[in-house]
Amino acid sequence: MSKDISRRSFLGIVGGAAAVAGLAACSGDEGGDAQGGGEGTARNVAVVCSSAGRNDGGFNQRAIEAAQAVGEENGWNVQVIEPTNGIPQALETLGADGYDLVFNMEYDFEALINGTGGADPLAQQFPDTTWVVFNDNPNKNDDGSVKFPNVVSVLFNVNEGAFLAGALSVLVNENSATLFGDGYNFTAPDAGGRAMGFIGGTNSNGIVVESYGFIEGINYEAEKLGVTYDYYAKYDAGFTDSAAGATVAGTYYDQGANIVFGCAGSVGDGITSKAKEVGKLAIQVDDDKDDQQPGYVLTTVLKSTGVPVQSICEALAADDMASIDNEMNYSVATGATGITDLSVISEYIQDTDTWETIKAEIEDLTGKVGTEITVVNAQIGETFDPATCPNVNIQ
Amino acid sequence: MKLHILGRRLLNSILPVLLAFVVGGIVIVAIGENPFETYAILLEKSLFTSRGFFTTLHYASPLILTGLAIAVTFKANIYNMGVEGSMLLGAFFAGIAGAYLPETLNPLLMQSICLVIGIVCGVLFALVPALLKAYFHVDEMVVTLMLNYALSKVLEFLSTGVFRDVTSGYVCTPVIHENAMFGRIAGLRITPFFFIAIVGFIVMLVVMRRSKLGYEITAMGKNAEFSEATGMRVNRKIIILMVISGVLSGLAGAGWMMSEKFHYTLDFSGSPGLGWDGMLVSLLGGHSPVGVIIAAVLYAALKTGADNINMYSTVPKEIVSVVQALIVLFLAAKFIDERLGVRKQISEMLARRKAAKAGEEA
Repeated sequence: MSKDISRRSFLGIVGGAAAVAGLAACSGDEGGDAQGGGEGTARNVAVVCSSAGRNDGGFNQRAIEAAQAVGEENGWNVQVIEPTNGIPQALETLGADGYDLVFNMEYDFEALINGTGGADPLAQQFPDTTWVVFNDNPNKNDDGSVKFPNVVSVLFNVNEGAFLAGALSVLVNENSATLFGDGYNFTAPDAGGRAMGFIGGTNSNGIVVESYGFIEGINYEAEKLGVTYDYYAKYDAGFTDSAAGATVAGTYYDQGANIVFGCAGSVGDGITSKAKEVGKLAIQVDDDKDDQQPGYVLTTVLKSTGVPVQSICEALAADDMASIDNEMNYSVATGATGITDLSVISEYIQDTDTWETIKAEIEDLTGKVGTEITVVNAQIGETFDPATCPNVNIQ
Repeated sequence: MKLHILGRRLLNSILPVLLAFVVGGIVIVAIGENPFETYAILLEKSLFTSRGFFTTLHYASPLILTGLAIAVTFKANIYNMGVEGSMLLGAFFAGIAGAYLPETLNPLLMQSICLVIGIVCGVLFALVPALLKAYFHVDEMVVTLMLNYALSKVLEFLSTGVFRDVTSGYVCTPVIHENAMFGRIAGLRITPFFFIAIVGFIVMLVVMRRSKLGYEITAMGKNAEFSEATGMRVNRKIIILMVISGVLSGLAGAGWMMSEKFHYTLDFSGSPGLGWDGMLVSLLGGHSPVGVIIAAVLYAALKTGADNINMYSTVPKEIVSVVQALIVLFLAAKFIDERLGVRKQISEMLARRKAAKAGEEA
């Protein structure tokens, strides 16, 4: 009896295993065909997302949309990748598959530029692929010369955009009582309302650069007015937990801050909803999110990845990659960074005269920043000295 | 072990996987894609090409060790949730040693030092709950689970402060020196770390199958009080098992650091972490070393395959997470009674139903 059963179950297992193997083998051919059919004259372009994911509503998503737009026009294969086994593995596979252009949205260049574990740098292994990295320029030799001609570094001068946001924040805060009507609940400047908050996702150059610019912007206007601001900052909020964003923003608003600048992916969604709840203001980041909570988002410090991605893709379409520099800098003047046109918040303003003078001042600063006014850029290794901002007390 | 029991046990591990694939397939059809094509991409490049297979083995290496670390304690009914923590602590300090010890050391010596440091850290982390459990009867599940969170905050503090690589634009420790890295073999993704994992597997195979300790693990798992009554020193065994678990986890972390990550970042272990993946691997493998190694390779193949789905198809890679979640779900059910077998199980069920019906009628 027992022998009989064992034979049966054994057969069952073998049969099952054979079925699985057969299934995998026969449909394996289909997969191969589909892949083979896609190749031809069309280009292969990939966008490798950062941990914020493809639907982050900003940094990754704009790059993907720009690449897909150009790709669709030219009939390219545009692949969007959210790696599970790490960025280096994804980049290596893309290189080995002969991709023409790979955008690496994550801050992870070690394998690409230096090579790890005895392997050659990926940029060297796959010289026919153009690699694009963001927010830093790791592609340099010790003497500052370009290391790999097929690596493009894209930098945004978000320090300048954050500066404008800081200046705007002070001007709005000082006039909050007259600018805004019912439904808002600002702490009066004299009653402890001279305070600003900053919530960053992680303590990296890409985040602190915004905070430093923001501080300098606050200091610029505060100095003019002869007042002093308190500054609350958190640099480890992560990029995903919007509930935590709401909690931290809540404590800043309780401490008297009227405006909180969130620089932490979807954590910012929690900050804006908290702003609406308490009747104060928030500042968003990366992609224009002024209409997320209309009337409660003062502005957005833009970092539009769509602009550089589009111009690089168009260069590829025109077969003119030589026109792309190895280091691309996007200042406020290019429109890839800066602040929004303030059209959303304008609809909630009562006192239009004061608002116009504020906008004129910001307009004026937009022309000066980067030339007359220099703002510390932590992204390129500049350090920030709090002593240069005597009108801001960093808590 | 009798063959038919082994067969049923095997079936109990394979069925959840197959069912998960079937249900996952229905989901793929529902979003208007071809499930066969998707699964072909999922498995083909990660298992049926030699290059891909070695990549899979590389990613399976830490899972083999964390899976064994879970298996050795779970089988004895000690619920050690601290494998993730042991792994992270081992990885962190192996990475620190690799970055701060001199570059000129002999690579073999350097790598050995890093591994030993990783193992020691893993053991230290496991020892705290072990002592609490053995001498104060503190619930090990709660302590180990919570310590993980405490540890991840401590490591975050250390990597943002004391050991931060100031030249990098984001939070990480310095990259380990060349002589502490496990190099690739023959240009493939596989490194010596895989063979270290295999040595770990063989040792655990002997320990669990052939040694007195292995017998005691099984006895404790079946009934700890009875084992105590028969003269086993259960408290001491708990400490020994937790130490073994710590060794394996620390080794997993150190090896992963030296063969793949090369520096500690806040997302070092991925999501979910290698320790948590190890738990699934161990459950899937029925807490037996051979089962663990097969499950680890399968699980690594799924992970590698997820990237391939991402790259070679339009199906969202989340489908792999769906399959993984379904495996966990189906694992919770034991489909086949290991002692009875399918036929007896069904006939018993029918008999029971008949009896119930008869009872109702009466």
